[in-house]
Amino acid sequence: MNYQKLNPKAKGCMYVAEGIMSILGIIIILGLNQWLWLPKGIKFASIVSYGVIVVLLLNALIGPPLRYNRYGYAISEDCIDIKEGYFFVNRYIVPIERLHKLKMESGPIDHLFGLTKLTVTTAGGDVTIRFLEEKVAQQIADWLKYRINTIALDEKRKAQEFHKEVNYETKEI
Amino acid sequence: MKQKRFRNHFSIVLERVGKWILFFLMIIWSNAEKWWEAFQPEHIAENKTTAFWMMLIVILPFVLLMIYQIIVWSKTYIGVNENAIVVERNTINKQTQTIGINHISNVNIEQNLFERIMGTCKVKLDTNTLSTANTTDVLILLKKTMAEQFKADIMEKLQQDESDLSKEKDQEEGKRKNQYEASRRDVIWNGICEISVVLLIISMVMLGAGIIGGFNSIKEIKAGQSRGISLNMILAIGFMGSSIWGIVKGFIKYVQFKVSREQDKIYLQYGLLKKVEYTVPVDKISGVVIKQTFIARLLGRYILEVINIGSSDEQGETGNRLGLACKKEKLDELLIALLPEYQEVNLSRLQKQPKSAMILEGLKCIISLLIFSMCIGIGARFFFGYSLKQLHLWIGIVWSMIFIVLALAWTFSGYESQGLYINDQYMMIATGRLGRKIQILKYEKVQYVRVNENILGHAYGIAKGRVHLLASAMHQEKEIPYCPYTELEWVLDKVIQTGKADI
Repeated sequence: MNYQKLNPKAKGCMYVAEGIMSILGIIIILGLNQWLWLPKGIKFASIVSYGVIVVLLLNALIGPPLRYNRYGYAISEDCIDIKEGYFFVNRYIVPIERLHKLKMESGPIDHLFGLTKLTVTTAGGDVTIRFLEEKVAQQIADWLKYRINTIALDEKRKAQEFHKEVNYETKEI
Repeated sequence: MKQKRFRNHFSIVLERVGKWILFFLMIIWSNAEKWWEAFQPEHIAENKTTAFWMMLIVILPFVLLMIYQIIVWSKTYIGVNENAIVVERNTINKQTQTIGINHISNVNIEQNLFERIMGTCKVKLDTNTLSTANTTDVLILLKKTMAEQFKADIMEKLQQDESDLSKEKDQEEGKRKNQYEASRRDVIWNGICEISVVLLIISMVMLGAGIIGGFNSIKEIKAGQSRGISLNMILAIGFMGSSIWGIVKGFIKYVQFKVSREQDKIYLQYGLLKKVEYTVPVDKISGVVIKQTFIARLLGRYILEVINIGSSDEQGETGNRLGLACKKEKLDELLIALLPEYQEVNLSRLQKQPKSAMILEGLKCIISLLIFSMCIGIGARFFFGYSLKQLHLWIGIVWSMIFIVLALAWTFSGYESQGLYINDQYMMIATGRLGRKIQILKYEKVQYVRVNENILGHAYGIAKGRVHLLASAMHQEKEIPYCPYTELEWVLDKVIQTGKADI
């Protein structure tokens, strides 16, 4: 499968989102460590909490480029294929025939970078293609709409042909 | 367009208020002594105003609740026209719910003990919609005869042909063909297999706590420290009741179990205290589950269930059971009679996970246990002031032994129980550890697939997967255990190739 890479703007968006989440995480851990949770004297727990802070910082620094390099999506005649993650890689495969709904939305950070998300809904749940340029997202949405319509028309034609055949056979009998 | 319009049976008011009456009684019961004193004639004579207010506190909530429920009942109408069912609630919070009849997937009838006394039953309508998969879309309480008529009307509107209608009549008269009826022996075996080992241990602990609580209360009464039954005693009775009920329920739930298949519908009927009648359209079945609890596995028995949308409700009832715990030969017979679409399923074809999966599962278990041990260590220091230096040697040794046994048991039980088999028509996924579930899923019912891969798995060329179905939350995701990546690719190809999912 030939996966499409994201626009480099996506990397910036990932840095900002990851950075905000890490800062929030660090504030919560420091707060718990300092005032609420850990009484002085439990060195081990303090070491663990500082370890978590280091992991959060590392994630904010090296996570976005790794995620950016891994992230890919492919849209064929029959299916949507998305690959994401870095230590744990997830791949989502959605047959286009199962699609019920398409939704485009962008949060404030996405908006800042001119990016958007495209969520496709099936009867078994949602799958989202993230960090798409608005123009690209629109093109994909148009293509998916076209494919859904083509499939529906195809189904209708097949059903009509089937009914014709049944009627013909009934008349012959 | 002609529309039938009617209300729920009035007993719905009593049913709804009844739950709250029980709740209030429990609160009053927990302070029984104070209430008893307050309502002594001499006390009332002395404090007439206080007694009046206390009476008001006791009675007013019931009266208000009753009035509210009567208003809701009188303002709620169910309308049935050619193509839709409309439920109107014209109270302050006005609601109108319209459901297209062609979207109804299940029309079920249920009857609990109270409803049996009142001669009523609930009609539950479910649609094949994911957003309401865990709830009943429309619930109507009607007189039994009216409920059966209503169900027949809806089924008629669901474009049944004449033969189907005559079948409905046969069903009412209990003349169904191909009917499997469970004997008392089957029900007892099923009850035994239903006993969950974990629940059994919890129930025993609860029973012990209940007995201790009960004895303490009796001692207090005898010593004159308490005049009535205390909250401890109520809790004790509650614990004992729930623990015994948990076990007994498994035995009585499926009394008078009957199941039959007629053309494209499966009819289910069972229950002693709560009678249910389900109709499951075969085309709405997303998968078949062959379940073995730990005890069922030891006894070599299998339970047959189906996954379908609309079989879950607010009371946690999920899944439709088509066969009680039975031997393998009986299971095969049931599959042929009820689900010939799945009769070629052969459980012996299941293939275990690759051996490398054991390494990954073992590592996962060790990491989880290490984190758990660390939390216990921190907890011990935090709450009891113990440090690792003060830890007795034997505690460390015992914990290490438990640690190793748990890790090995987790890894091997998973390896022995889990597996996968794929062919052109369906995939068969086995999950579980002590108990086991074998899920048979046809590709056309799969909505989408997720493949999960980690670094080590990548090195061994194996990955896990998740298939997503149109089903209630409990059955929406089914995990594929570790298998070679090539097999997952095959599953993906098959899911893409199959026609539009029939929902």
